[in-house]
Amino acid sequence: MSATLRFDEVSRRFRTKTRNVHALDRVTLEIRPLEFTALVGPSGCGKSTLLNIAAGLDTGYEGTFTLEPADADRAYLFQSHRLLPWRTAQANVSFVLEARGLGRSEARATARRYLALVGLAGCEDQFPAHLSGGMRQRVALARALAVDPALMLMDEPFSALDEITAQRMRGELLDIHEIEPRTVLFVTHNLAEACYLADRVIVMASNPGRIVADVTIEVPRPRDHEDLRLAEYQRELSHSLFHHSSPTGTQTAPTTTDQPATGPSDTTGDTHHATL
Amino acid sequence: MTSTTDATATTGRPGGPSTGPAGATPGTPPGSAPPDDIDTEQVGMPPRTLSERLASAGWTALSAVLLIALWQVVSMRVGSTVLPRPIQSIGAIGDAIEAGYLWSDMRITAVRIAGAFALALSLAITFGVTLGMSKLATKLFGNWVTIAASIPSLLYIVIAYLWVGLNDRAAIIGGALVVLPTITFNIWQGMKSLDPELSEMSRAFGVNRRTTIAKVLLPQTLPFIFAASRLGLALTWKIMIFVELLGRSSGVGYRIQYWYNLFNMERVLAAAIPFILVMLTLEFAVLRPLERHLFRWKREESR
Repeated sequence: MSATLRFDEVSRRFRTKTRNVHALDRVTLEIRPLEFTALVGPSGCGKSTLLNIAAGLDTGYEGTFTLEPADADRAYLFQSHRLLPWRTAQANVSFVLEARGLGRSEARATARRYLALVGLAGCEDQFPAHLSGGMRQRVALARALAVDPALMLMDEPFSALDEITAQRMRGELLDIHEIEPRTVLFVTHNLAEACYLADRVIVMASNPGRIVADVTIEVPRPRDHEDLRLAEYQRELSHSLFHHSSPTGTQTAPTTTDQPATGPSDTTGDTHHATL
Repeated sequence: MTSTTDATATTGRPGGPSTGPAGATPGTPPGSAPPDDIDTEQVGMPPRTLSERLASAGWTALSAVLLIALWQVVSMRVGSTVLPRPIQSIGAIGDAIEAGYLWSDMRITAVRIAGAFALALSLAITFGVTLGMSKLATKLFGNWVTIAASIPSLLYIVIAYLWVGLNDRAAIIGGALVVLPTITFNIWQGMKSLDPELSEMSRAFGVNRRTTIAKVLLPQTLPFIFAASRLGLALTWKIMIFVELLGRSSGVGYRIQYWYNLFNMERVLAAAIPFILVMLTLEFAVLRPLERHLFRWKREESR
């Protein structure tokens, strides 16, 4: 089972004390089953809002959002691990399983299986405080996988990790995705990460939050992060990103007149894997 | 398509022969070996060795001996009528046991403390949680806690005796009222430390509200409710002596007052020390180990 997502003219405004934020402006987007989609863009472009709408955490939007099937199981991997600190690794995974009505021993067995899958066999009885940052995020990944979701939502899950650990976990995520493909929506600041992981990268711009580019990454899997084709995609995406994220948010001249302005920023932005 | 959980689940080894060409990625498949970021050395709590335990016990004993030595020195300087020697106090405690009132005093006082503490804690949890959950309650009643905390203890006790009468019920209510604002405040503040991210996680995984309260919110409240209880118990015991002194004719507080009126320093100490020891035992032998066990997941949080 896998999920299809449809955002149709979805808008979202937040009112804060000082100003109104137009987080999403009539965003229309369809995510197809089993597609691994990355959402990239600067802070405030509404990519996390989109994710929260997909997760059912945010219901204050206008427009329509449909999830098919409507009762599709969703799992969420956050930027921080969000483990229950008083529960062991295994108990953290079984928590979401038992909450879904799985029996205690069955939940326990499933939890152990998924902890082993993410490389944590032998650490089942450790509390999160006794694990390293990378291991905690692995537990969170095991928790998300264990519910066997049709839709996996990921909000910068590797951004808090050191690059070596993050790189390793990206590779493992892809390995798991090969075997158990599901619809994935992955939010990131990191273009290199987006290109390496995703089938399709959606670039967003802020003020108001909108989609400015939609690129399919046609590099066969398994991929190598040093693949030059990925670097090429990265350059292309970087261009559309800088091109549209002028701080004033001028939308009047989206194609030609901005060209000189993006030139310099493009050359300085040589290291495209740098977070934006 | 149907998920292939079973394939991975049974083998735990993606990339096995049955999983097809896609699984044949170079490098380590997940689950086959512990990845490098898992530093097995640092996993787990450091074991507390026997020598460490002995050293710790040694320091505790030394600190107790020093305190008694100081007492001895001071009493030798100021004279035993002002401050009886440790050995004299022990003798006086023996006399009190012989006279037969020591155990009954302690039992009576302990029951009153337990009553006042239970009353104060249950009210404090109710008020503290309400204040922590509801903005309206905070606006309306937040200041009441501050006002209640600023009222002198004596006033609560006197009012309790005036309204309820000179009986144990008044003693329990008076004692509870004195400690109530402090415990309420602590629980209220603790409620602010609840992590909204964990509730959001629970919602994102479709966990229902009841389970979220029971398994995500409640466990977060336990550490500060426990801390507030310890504080509350210590406060209640101190204030109960005072409550007894003011309006009861039994208990440790009454006994202290009785010997104070006779200017018998030895017997005053003999009345107080046994109960102090009981409270210390409770703290060291019960509450601290219990706290260590209950909140063992907290240790090494800094890592």
